[in-house]
Amino acid sequence: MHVYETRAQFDAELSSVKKWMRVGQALDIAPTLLQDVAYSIGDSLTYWWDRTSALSTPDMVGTRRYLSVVAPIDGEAHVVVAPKADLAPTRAYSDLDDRERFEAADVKPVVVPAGGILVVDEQEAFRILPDQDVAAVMVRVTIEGYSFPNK
Amino acid sequence: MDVINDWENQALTNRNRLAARAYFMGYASPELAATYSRELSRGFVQLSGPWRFRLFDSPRSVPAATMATYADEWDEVEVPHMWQVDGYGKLAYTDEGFPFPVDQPFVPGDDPTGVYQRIVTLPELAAGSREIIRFDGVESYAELYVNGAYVGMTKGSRLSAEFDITDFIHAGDNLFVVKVLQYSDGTYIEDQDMWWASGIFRDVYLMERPAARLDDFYVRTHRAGDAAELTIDVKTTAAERIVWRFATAGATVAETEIDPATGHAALTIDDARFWNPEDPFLYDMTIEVYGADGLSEVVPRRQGLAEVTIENGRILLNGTYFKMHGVNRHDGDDHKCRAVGLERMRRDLELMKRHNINAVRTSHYANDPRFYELCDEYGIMVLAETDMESHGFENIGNIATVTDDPAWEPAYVDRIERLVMQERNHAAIVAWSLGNESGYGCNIRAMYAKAKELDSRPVHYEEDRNADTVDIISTMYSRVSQMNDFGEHPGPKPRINCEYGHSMGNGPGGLSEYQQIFDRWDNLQGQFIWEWCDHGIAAVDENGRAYHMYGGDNGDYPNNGNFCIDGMVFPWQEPSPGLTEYKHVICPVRVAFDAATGELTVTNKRWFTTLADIRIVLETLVDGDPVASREVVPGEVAPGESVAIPVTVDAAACGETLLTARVFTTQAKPWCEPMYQIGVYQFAVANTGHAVIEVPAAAAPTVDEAECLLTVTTRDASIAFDLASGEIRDWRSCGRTVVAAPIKVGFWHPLVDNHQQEFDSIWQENFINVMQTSTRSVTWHREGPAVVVEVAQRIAPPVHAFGMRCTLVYTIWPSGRVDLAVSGEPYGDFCDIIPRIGISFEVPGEDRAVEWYGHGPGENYPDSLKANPVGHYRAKVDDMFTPYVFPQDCANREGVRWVALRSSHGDGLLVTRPVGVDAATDPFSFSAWPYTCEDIDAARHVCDLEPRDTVTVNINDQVLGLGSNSWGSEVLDSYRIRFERFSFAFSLRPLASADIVAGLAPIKEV
Repeated sequence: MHVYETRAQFDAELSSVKKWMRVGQALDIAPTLLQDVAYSIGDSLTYWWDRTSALSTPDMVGTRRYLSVVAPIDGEAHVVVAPKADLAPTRAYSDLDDRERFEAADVKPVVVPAGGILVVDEQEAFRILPDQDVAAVMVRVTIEGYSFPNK
Repeated sequence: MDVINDWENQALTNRNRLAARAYFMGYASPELAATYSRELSRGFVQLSGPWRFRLFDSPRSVPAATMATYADEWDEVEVPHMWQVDGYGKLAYTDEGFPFPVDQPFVPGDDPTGVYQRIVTLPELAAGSREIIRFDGVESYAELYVNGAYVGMTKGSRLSAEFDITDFIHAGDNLFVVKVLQYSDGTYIEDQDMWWASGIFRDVYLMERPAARLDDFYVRTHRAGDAAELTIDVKTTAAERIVWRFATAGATVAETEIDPATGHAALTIDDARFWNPEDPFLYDMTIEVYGADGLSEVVPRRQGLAEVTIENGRILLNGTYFKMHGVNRHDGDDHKCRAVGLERMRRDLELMKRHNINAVRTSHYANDPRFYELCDEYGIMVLAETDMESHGFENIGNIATVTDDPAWEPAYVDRIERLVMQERNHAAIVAWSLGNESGYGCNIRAMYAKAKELDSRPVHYEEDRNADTVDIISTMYSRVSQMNDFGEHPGPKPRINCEYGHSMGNGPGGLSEYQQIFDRWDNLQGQFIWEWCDHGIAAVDENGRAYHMYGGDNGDYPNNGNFCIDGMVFPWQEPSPGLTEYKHVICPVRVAFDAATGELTVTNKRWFTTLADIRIVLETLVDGDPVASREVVPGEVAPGESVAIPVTVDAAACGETLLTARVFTTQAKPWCEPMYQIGVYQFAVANTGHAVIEVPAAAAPTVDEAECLLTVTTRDASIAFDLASGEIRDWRSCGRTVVAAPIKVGFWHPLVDNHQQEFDSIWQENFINVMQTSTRSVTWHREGPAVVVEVAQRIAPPVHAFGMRCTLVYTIWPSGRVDLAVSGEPYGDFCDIIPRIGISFEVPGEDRAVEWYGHGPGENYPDSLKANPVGHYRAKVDDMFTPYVFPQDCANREGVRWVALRSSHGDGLLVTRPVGVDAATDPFSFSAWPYTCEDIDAARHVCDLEPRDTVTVNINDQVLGLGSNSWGSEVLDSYRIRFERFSFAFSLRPLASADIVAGLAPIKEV
């Protein structure tokens, strides 16, 4: 898990990598697009924005082939993040949605400030909490780190 | 002042070319019109055929006299053709990079220029008639001269061009000269991932248009209940009366007159039979034009009734929702390149229909006008793309360099206008596509506006990423879970995936998972495989061996190698295993079976028609062999509906029981015979293991340990192990050689194109393909009646500090059976994916008869299994080798319970899991080749492969899925295997005779 308090911090560390540069592009454009409609940039990532009340899940969600990025727009978001290895699985991994599910964890949530960016690693699962009802961008970016030209 | 060449002026799209119009032919009488024969249309003169030809180094090198003087001494070529294929100039291939310096609109001064000449003898033209010459494809710039006079010029290689030559011809011999430049400003927007080749590559012909004639027409359909409300707008010359008629089977169903003044009419067909891809019904429509002297011409057309609309974010055909299960198709012929003949087009469409494909994207240009007619006829929906791609500008940092440059607007708009005007009467066209991979900008918006001005159908363009302008939002190569994201979070516009499943070489894998997602979400309305056919060009090497060329084979540089060998159909127009898999994945009749309740559920995934024609043959298999069958008739199940049918399947008391459901259509169609199989499914019913048979062991093997060799001898066999390497040096049974090369543990198989990116980024730098085996110890001991030989090896790459410590345990039983247990423990920091985990060896060349119980009969891989149900199959090693244009791993069979490689007399080797292991729940994989892995990896063309005297056999515990990451989806997580701890075991049983039953018996020697 990585929490970037500001976009500038995120850009300073990652924006030289194509897929993270595209994450930045997605974060820039997302608020201008329709709510709860998924878009893509190349085949690096998909993204959409919604209220955290809608993005919230009752359980912990993990992915394997894509990293989950949560970027609140107009307020701080609370996200529970925990290693998958510490969680009780409730649904096996599926290639169809790149998700595996786990029981909700009683772990102190991470606070992601407005304008900040949370990146959830593939060894972790996360759960956006609904009670801070703010707008946030959800990005799923490929874990592939190679210089594949089409990503 | 600099001269502006016509071929370097993007604002100039033509000189004197006639305005685009609907493609049609006029006939002198209704009887001739009824033939639909182009050759019988009025004044039709086929100019395809022999032309004099000469290739010049540049346009400047062409003497002016050649436009007016017939050169009998020039070579003769057969038009249509591409001159590079005929040996003039050099074929070159790049994916997107321009083959010359980017300096738009300028092209190289040494622009290869071909000049064609032909003498055409013509009769006196009737008074008032016009003589029209039509080119359906000339790449990339053409000037026409008739009898020495300049007629005009056209660009837009894959778009038809007509010129009125009435004033240039006379009765008798006429000299036609066509000057063709390989490159022009148009080349900058014709960069479509294909051979750089040029010439008159589609038909060229003359038509006589009578004094009173139809110039253009546009028919539109609106569905109102069961009625079709039709309108027509025509343009005519000297027409005094126009009759518009619809008929079927010779009987008129509707008829009206069109007012010559307005050119407009409407009519209604009650109880109309609308066109759809499952029932592509076409009416016989005619437009009769009468002039002052009576009937002047009859224009016939096979007209389908189709209306495409978008309602609530969904595309509808005649009010009905549908999905497109499609492919991207380039023009391609392995002997003619893009000069594709009608019969090749027809066979393409027949193959598509036979493989359940219902849509085609004409990537990335307009096709021969007859292709759209065939699509109407066969029932293939068309995403009709025009001739436009500026991909090469990506290499200079801005793919939209000209797409967003208003100076190029005329060239862009010209291309969509000509396509829509020519083809908008086709029922099969469900949407227009503005082109491919050209970025987004003002010219896309201008093209969209022109398309909508000319026709109401939806417009597609993938690089309008968020569909700010176009009607259909589209992506390419989005992965399975990304498509699921689009489904879970739909937008207001329908969505398609216009390219996926990159079919380069062996693959693609993972189509089944894609299809589950496409089926799941309504906003996803189509997917198009990349691509239909390999672009390989047939050639013969210096030894007379046939092969197919790709980029670089002609000394062309830069090139993109075999990236154009990426189709589901081989260049010789036969289906690849990938197409066979796609057929079954998209089978429109879905079958499910609940073994517990005995309920067979049949679901109609067609969109327009019932399952009245469907028969399902159920086969009960026990240990792979059929023991019973019955036919199931689902009946008239409506689209989207299911029927549950009780089915009793008797499970075998002993053995594995499977139920195979084969789906057939009883209807003979132009593309299939009756009782044609459209799909296959398989279900597990029961699995009761065979009881182990304990038999007293024969005399224990003897052991002879020499300085370097350990020989274990049983009654019928002897096995000699090298005490240094631990390898089997000699294994003979009943006097015959069992293995011709040692058994080796391996993690590598010949590289497949769909793993190239993994090779480049993971395997090459870690030398996974050249791992070295080092034997640390070889020991032996007795264990009960058996002799056990243990070999400890380290298998690791050079350079690095990781590897696998393996233990091979050979257990030699008194019967001569050898059980081999292999385990591996990794060390170091590498844990990424690898191609396989298994063993390889060679058997004598006479053991070419393969028999197995597993997935088959065709090649299959872990993520590509749907077309090949489990069964008991036989094949020859040589026939199992798939002749991919670029040789690579192939011939794999999954889900294998046992496999035997035998001579024609039946002796050989049987491989199973060890006694006591249920192979139905723990199957393995095998492949057998007439070449070694190294042979295949080293080959660049099939002619590089020389069959060996031995057969290479790979018995794998795990095989990596194929994926489609030659451009697109990595191997899905569930099909990834890693360099991790493993263990597996096989039983190797020499066969002395044709009696395989003895070998398969689960005998435990005690």
